[in-house]
Amino acid sequence: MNSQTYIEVKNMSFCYPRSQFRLEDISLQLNRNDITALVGENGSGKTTLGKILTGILKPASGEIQIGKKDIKTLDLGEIGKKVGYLFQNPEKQIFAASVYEDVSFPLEINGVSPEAIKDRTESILKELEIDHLKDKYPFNLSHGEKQRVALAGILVNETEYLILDEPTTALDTDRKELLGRMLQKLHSQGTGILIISHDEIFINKFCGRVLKMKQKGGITDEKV
Amino acid sequence: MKKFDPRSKLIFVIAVSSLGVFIKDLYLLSAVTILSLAAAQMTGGNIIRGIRKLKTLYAMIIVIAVLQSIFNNEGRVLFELFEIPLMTTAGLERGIEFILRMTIIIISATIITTSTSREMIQGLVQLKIPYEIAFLVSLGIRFLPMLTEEIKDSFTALKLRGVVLKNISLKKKIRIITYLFLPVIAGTIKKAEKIALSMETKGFRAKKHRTSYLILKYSKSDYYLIAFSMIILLTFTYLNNKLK
Repeated sequence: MNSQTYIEVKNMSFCYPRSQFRLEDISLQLNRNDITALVGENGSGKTTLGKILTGILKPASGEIQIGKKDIKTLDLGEIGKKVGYLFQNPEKQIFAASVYEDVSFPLEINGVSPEAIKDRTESILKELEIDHLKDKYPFNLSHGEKQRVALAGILVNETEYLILDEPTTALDTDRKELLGRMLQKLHSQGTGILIISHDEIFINKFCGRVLKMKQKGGITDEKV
Repeated sequence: MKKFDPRSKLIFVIAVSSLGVFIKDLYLLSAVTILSLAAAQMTGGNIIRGIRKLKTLYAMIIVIAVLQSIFNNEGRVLFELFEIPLMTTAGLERGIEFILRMTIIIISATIITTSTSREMIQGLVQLKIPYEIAFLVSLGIRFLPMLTEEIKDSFTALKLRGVVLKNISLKKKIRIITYLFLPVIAGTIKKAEKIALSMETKGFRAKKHRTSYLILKYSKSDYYLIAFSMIILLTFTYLNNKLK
């Protein structure tokens, strides 16, 4: 484990109940100094692995550490403060009646001062070019806009690691470029990033490391 | 495993659920529970899954027993604190009655789930219920587990936004629950819209009369089950009235 390792998986296995699908004996280290891509065929278990790394799914065996803490000792909320997770379907992580409230409410609940909430929320909305939508009802937005609202909701927490599941699917070329540049900026500030994606152009441009999931549940490092 | 017609299963379920609701005697209620468990076993219902669903309700026995003991003056006092009866025999009986009633209802639901939704719709249609209503009932039954799943997913996603529930006040916890409603309601409405749209594109109600490839026929065992349902309904109603 090097000093930059933030998430470490040791001999982890997972299977869904009443299903043939399984991940077997997976070991990997995710570092804060990498933008890592997780690629693989449909059904190879990329999203499943992402959900295991954020504690949504529990592995059958093995060990997972986040910031040197065993994931079993962390509550989902505590994991959320360390690792931001962007769902494939952004609607799953939109909760409030306006974009501004949706991005800011976890800060308010966690007791952040009103001035800091305003600063952080407005700057993240501006950075993702959705500040003009701040009073809009988020469920009426386009898929790409919803995706950026969901992304703002996790970035506002200033987590140390980000796991983004298919973040480019609904984005146009300019917005992909914007997202890539933003991820590079976050990376330069010390945030580790794992991108689950099929978007080869985006991966080749922005990711320094590529992990490939194999159909039988194994994983290989393709490019370092 | 015997394959029963959904209509005979429906008649049995209506009989035992009705008995479960109005029977007051604990022994009769226990007998109805045993009968519903036996029927679920016979029809291939997943009893273990049904009982697992009841797991959280088992704790309610204590709550109901204590509340009934405090506010209901009947029965012998088993345990008291500062002369307030915290547990009486009548209170305990009410708690057990509650869990038996819930067991009957959940087990009845597992009997229904042994038929596919298509068979159930056809069963209702052949019981002269309009197809639209039968389809609505079947859709409603299928929607319930989806709704539970939706609530669970939203709660997980909410916590992953960095909300640590154990560290916050009750007022904030209540506020968080209100945040859960929006994605669940919005998600459900969107799903309903999609279903409605796909039903339209598949020509739902395009013609007045529908034909069906699936035609249900009663077998001998169905007649036995219907007769058995009628017998237990009448016998238990009679015994319940007699024991009043």
